[in-house]
Amino acid sequence: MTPSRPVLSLDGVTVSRGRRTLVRDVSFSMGPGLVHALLGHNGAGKTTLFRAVSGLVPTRSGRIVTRGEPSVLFVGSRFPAELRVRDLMAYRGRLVSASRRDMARAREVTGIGEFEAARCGELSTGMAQRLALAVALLGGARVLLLDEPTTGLDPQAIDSLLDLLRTLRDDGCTVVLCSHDLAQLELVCDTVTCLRHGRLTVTGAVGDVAARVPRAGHVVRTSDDGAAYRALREARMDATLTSRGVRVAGPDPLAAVWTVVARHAVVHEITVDRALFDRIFDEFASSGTEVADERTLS
Amino acid sequence: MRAVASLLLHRRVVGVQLWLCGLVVCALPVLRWSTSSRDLDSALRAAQAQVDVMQPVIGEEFDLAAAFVEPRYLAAAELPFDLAALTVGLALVCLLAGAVLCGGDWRTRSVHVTWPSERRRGESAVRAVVVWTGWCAVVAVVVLVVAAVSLLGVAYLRGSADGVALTGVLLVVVRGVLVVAGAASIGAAAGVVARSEVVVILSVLVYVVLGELVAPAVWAADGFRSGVTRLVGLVVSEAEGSRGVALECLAPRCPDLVVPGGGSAAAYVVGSAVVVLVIVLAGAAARRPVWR
Repeated sequence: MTPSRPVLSLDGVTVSRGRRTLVRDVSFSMGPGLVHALLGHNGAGKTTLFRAVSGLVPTRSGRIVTRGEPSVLFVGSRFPAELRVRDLMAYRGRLVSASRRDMARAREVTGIGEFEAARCGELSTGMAQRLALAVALLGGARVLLLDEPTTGLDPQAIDSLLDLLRTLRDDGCTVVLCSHDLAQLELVCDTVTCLRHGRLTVTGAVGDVAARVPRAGHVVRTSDDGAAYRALREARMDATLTSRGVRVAGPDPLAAVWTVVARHAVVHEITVDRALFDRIFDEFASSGTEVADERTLS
Repeated sequence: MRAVASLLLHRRVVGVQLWLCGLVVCALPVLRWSTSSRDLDSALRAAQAQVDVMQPVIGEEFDLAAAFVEPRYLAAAELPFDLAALTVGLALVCLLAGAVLCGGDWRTRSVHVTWPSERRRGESAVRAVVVWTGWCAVVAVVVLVVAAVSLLGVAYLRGSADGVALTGVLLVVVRGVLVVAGAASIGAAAGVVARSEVVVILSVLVYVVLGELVAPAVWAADGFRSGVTRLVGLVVSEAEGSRGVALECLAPRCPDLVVPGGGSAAAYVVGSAVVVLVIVLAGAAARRPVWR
């Protein structure tokens, strides 16, 4: 899914610090109105790539082109604790000559109006994330880079953040995020790029990348898990009894599992045993295996 | 620049700076008021009593002047040094506050989020140092003028303002403002270069202990002059030929008159060059890659 006019484009980007190469020959691009996930193990080069795109560190070679100046949000970044939210917004607004309309939009989209009188040091992690996004939006950035945006957020705050990301995407912003909260990411991302040891292993639409990873197993929760387990074993399926229900591994289709179990117990719930992004991570981004062939799916 | 200036007024460190300045501006005249008196007769009687006690003990002529302790606040002798001491304190506050203001924003990674690009980092650092320097100069003008006026008031009421050269006081204030502005720019730029206020604060503490306490004690016999002593000398910059002239004060012993002069032109040039240099340095340092 490479659009004709990308808002962010990396072409053979290599980033080195001293003699260490942190990111090697990474190329991908993305169009407007997308949420893009950047996956990789610890030390894979995700944050370094964010730093390079935002201009915090130089590239050794390659080219990064963005439409407008990207805004970036790093985990652990803080605004001065004593500043009130409205003062920070007013300051940032003056710096970037934001119009009243831009200010109102940033306020409305991120919902920071509820705590504008609070000081930055008094904000919860979720509020601080929303404020950082509001500050980023004020600059009129069309590309937002979010490094671990779900860190420290409770499930409700994560839901709010995901809603916010969808709103930004609908507004035409392109959001690139990296996070280890993979199960949450897949609910909002359109495209994905994986890094392993600083190299790109795969990039493309989530659906295209998903087609390349092994199918998920299932966990079946029933009125009688013991009976369901025995029935699945008799049907020669790879079943295991767990506290969450009966786990059925392997390529058996969901319909076959359902047919076997429904004859012996009432099925309460069937879930996948491993989220899609977990499987994508295992296949393309975990540090355990060596670099596979580089693939770009479009 | 206006945006940075407006934000500055909301920062806690500026509040602390103003609070400290207010405290010192009030405390200095109060201290001078409470430790001085116009009652010269009592001081003379006390000195005479001292002579009467000491003379039989040492068995020879005991000079009244040696026993005399000046009770009055004689502005012509003391005001320039009071203003210079105030300048040194203010310069230290502005140096540390500048480091906290600029270095703190780097340590908390506020800068990374606000201005990530290399060019913007450089510009914002230069803007912050310039605004901070200008702000501290304004604060220094207010503090030193208020202090000078209130100390002259103390002199009129509890001593004497005779012999005070207003031009000299003005020159001390001007040099004080320049010194404070220089210290503010150095502090802010050091915060940017170190990308943390902690390093700057620790460096200042180490300097105070070694340069102001240990070294003067160790090399006292060699005529070692600490940085603060030199700074006070620079701010006062006594006019050539004015040293050793005693003030007329109608007492057995009068202090020397202090007449501040124009100072060395080289000092002004070097001071201005330092300010410009640290501003440029801050801009260049902010453009370094941000790996953390």
